[in-house]
Amino acid sequence: MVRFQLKTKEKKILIGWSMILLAALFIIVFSYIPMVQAFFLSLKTGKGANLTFDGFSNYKRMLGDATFWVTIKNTLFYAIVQIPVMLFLALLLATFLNDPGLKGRGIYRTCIFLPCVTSLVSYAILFKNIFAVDGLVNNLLISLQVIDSPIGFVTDAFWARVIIIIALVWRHTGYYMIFYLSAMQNIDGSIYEAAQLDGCSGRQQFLKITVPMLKPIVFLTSVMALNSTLQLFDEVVNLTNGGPGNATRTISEYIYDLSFNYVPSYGYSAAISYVVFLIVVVLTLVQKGVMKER
Amino acid sequence: MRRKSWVLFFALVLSVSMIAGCSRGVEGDDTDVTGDSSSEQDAKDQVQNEEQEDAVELTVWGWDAAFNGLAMEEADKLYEGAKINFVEMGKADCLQKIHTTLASGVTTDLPDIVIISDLAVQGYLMAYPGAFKPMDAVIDYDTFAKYKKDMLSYEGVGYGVPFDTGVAGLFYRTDYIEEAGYTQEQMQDLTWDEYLALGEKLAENGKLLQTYNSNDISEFQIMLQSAGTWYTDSSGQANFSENAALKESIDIFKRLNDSGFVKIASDWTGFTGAINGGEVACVIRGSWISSVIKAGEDQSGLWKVAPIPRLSVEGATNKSNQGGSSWFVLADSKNADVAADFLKNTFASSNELYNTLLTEKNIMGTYLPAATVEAYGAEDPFFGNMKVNQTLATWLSEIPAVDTGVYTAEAQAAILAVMPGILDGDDVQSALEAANDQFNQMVQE
Repeated sequence: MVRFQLKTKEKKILIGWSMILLAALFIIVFSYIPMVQAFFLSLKTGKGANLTFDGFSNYKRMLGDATFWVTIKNTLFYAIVQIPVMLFLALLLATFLNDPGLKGRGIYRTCIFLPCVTSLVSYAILFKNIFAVDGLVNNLLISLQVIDSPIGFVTDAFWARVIIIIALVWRHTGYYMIFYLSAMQNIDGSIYEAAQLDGCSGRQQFLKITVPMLKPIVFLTSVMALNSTLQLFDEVVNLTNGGPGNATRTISEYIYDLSFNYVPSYGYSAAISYVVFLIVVVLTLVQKGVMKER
Repeated sequence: MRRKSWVLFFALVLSVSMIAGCSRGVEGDDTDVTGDSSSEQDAKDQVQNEEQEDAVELTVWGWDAAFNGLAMEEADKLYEGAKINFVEMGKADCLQKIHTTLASGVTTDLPDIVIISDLAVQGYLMAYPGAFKPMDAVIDYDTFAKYKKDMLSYEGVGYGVPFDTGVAGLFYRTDYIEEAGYTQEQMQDLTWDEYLALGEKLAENGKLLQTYNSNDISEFQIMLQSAGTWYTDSSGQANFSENAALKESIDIFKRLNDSGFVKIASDWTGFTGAINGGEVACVIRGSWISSVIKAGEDQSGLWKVAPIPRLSVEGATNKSNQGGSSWFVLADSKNADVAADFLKNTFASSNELYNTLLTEKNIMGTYLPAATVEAYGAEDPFFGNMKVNQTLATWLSEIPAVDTGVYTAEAQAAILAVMPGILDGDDVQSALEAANDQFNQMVQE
């Protein structure tokens, strides 16, 4: 009897492995092995195919590369401004849409989630048209007599950043809202009932019950948002192409330029990619620490 | 239990067959046909059929099917020994794909011919030694415009077959400039000061001179080459802070920026929209722009072309170039020799081909013997019966040759990075020195 059970267990393990085997193999071959290769590549210098092993010189080169620091600064700026705004909005929307008394919840949810399924490039082009010199927003502002002459939204450093952040918030808020919504639906309703019996106000319920219960999801979403913002590419390339000057250029765009627009420095681009990876790891650990403290 | 065994069995079969499916694609094993889509099969049959007919299929990677693709199609009609398969991609995608393919070192499934824009050519030749087939023994470079050969040569060896030229012109609306009190004679051989003065005059009648995008300095290429200079010197070093032509170009750019007579266009759509919508009187670009201008059919007969404005620095001319690209044979492609022979017999020797291309799409090659073909004498009703092709062709030989070197993209990015500051009133000299430092950072090995 014991032997038979063991056999079942073995079989279960075998079935489990056989099911993930393929996916695991693909991940190893197409993700982990290239990551290791990229690290070795980051230790090489040279243009195009003329690569020679040169230790950590690419990492040293970064220290003096002004464009690299500008792009790091821009990317972190997006992360610091956009992520809190977006996650707060997502949480707020989720709270409203979680209210069972609200009519037409499904429609609102769909509408807010809809931007997430649009293609990155096409929505960026759409935003570019809306904020063009003779685009919708400028025409509207002029006809409302808010401004006299059109604002060059994508050619002005300040406005270009604002537009990119607005675009990002518009596109991604619905996505994170869904995470919060599903998490909220997992909170046991009896907790709220008990709280109400104890005379807890709606605001207190939100701050003392909903938010703490959502902590793991807040952590998950902030890591995810950070990850995607640090890899920001499509929106910036299509909206402003990094301009004016380098005012909106992100690390990913710089990596792309170094590999494909300029005479390719594959080693140096790989090194910068590794730095981005390290930044993500460090920031994730910091976030994790902060969440634990609370 | 029985059911579980079946699940296990299917899961294993599925995994194994899919893995086999992957490896099959890499190794090209034809015996396993599971998962082979019918279109792949069709393509294979087609290739086999063609091989039986002794016609080789040459794969060409390029952008713009209506321009480069059309040229290949017309060339294909003139050549017996091969069939052209033009694979169209976006320009950036195409240039990137050539990079990734060559960098990966893969030699199977390469295209036979690729098109590369002239300013990027040196970078490719330097980055991938041995990837492109030397063409000195195949074609006679002396039959092409001299500047083209310089751009396609690396360490003294010629690669690639020169294709189109971007001989630059000042395309203008005759009705708008006449309204501003200018005659067509006055539009010939302007200086930039005179050109900007025209802008003031146009503005009085509520017309705009040209488009302007603070984030696009491609007009610098035209200005620099018209004075026989470039962003970089012959040793590949940045030529910024001592470059009088560059400083004048920046000054003109700033004056356009501060003026009230330009149409702000932040992208291609805005740019072409301003031209076709009749919002601007002039556009200064390579000759390829004529296909954009001609898209505004309602403006037929209203356009003319004049030489571009001249800088005031020493050696400045009214002739320049912008854009243009060339064909390259990949040395490791299966049909490299056929591909080279194809290019030799078409783009490097056929007047007939260039005649067709000129007639069909105003595509102007750099093959000098073709300067006598019929299409050059043709009057173009769109340009008020002007012999546009002939006019542009006579300028072709007067374009100052410049060594554009390897690092044009880097140099342009470095200048662009300091432009917002300059437009805000920063000192040009110190900004250019900063750009120089930035350039040196970018071009490190």
